[in-house]
Amino acid sequence: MKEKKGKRYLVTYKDQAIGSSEASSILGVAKKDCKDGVTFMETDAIPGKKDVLHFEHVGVSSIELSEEEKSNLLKNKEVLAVEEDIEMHVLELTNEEEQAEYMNASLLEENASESLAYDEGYHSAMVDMFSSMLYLGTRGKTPVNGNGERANSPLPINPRPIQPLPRLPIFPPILLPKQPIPWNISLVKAPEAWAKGYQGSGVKVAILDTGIANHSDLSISGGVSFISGVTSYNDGHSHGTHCAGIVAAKNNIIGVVGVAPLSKLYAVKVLSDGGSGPMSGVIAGMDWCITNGIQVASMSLGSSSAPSAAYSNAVKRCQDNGITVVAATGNSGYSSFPYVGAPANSYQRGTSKASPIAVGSVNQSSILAGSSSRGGEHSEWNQVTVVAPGVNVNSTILNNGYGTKSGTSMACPHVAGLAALIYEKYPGISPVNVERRITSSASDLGDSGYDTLYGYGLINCEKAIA
Amino acid sequence: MKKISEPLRSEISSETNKIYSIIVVLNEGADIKKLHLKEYNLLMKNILSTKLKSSEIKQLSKHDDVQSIELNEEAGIL
Repeated sequence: MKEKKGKRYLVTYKDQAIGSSEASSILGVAKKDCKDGVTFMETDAIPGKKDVLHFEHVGVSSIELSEEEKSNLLKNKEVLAVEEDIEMHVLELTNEEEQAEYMNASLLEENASESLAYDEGYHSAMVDMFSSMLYLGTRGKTPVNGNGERANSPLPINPRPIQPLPRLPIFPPILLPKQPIPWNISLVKAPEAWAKGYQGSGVKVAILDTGIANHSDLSISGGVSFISGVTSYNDGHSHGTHCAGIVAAKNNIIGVVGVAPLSKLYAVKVLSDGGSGPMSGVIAGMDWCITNGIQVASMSLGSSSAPSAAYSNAVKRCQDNGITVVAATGNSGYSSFPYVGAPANSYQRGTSKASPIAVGSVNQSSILAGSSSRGGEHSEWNQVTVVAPGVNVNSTILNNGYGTKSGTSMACPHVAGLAALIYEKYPGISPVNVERRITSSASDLGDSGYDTLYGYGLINCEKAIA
Repeated sequence: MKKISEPLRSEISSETNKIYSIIVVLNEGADIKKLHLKEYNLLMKNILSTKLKSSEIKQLSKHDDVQSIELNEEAGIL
């Protein structure tokens, strides 16, 4: 093939994985003239008459051939097809625009934002594929030849009438379902913390409550019952299950999601299915937390009582064992005892320890719930530490369902979830420092600075792990 | 009596024969056997629950290793 006249052809081989060495042998050209097609295209060059471009991954070579040479190649058993390389001009920018318009029209019909990236990606991929195959890497650029000289025309072939591409099939867009984010989870900026890589992974959180029921949106790692005559930690009330969902409902495509969806939930049943239980059971539950390496104890329970020495002692012992204790302040805001109840009000003279993080409740507008127990009684009592959403909070309930509940019980597990995020980011952090991070990062509400209604303000997961 | 918290203190003064469910907090390292309790549940290292009459509660409060005595109150969901 000493003299090559005529047109440029695409030679397709039977063996798609054919190398340039074998290709040059079949084509009857020197190996040095057989260039890597992709590398050549990246230079924006256009091939000279002697240039043979081999596209190794698709088993195609581009070469100028005379009619005779073409006929000879077609007789070669290794050659599948020899086709004129006319499509180069057809796939000029005009056609690309038409494709884009067509795609855009389809997108408008779909009117689905999720499909945009898919269709654009599909369109781009198709154009790139054709461009690679037909070396139309010169879209929108002035091509140069193999010596780096600018060419006078976009491509060295005879212009032909522009034929529109056959319309490409549109595959239905893949609409991935998303996890609905409840308002309360957004309000405490939990998704922003997740975006930084913290979802409470592996942190052990105990829910001291009515137990936790099996639920497809919850994963229970273990538990215990301290209710007399009840061996199962299953929840027959739904209060504990609701609190558990606020801490760690899974980040999937169903229902709700918790503040720390990857934390490990433990059900410590200290309240009966009727919603109450003796204080001795609660303390026994706290001891179980120590024995079982729990890191966060969420206690959405209590009574309108003065501080208890037993609770204070138990809280301190938990803290000494690395457990952050979080307790609801109570729902006695309207009563004759509007103050923080036990065990949230626990304290011990002479130490800043022995007090849990006491959590009050706010609504969707970050306004204190009327029922949320206030600080103010006896300055030495533990007061409101922070507030979190506790009005009409949607979460997991019995029978694999979802429902809304209100109370400081609902606010408490938000803070427990935040503590789990902090433990994940700062392994080995002390409960005192967990509380410090929670209070220092809270968004101030009510009177400027600390106040007895809102404490240090609304928790902020994003800032707490910043 | 200072070790007995309200409202238990008031109750045992008026109901001398009633049996109360109580929670007792002990000093660190206290020897529980020395308290001579017939039955009790150890809730935590130094916290136990038991049931005693008013007179027994008053007697127990005099023990050096007893920090506090309070009613085993009911806790409820909030």
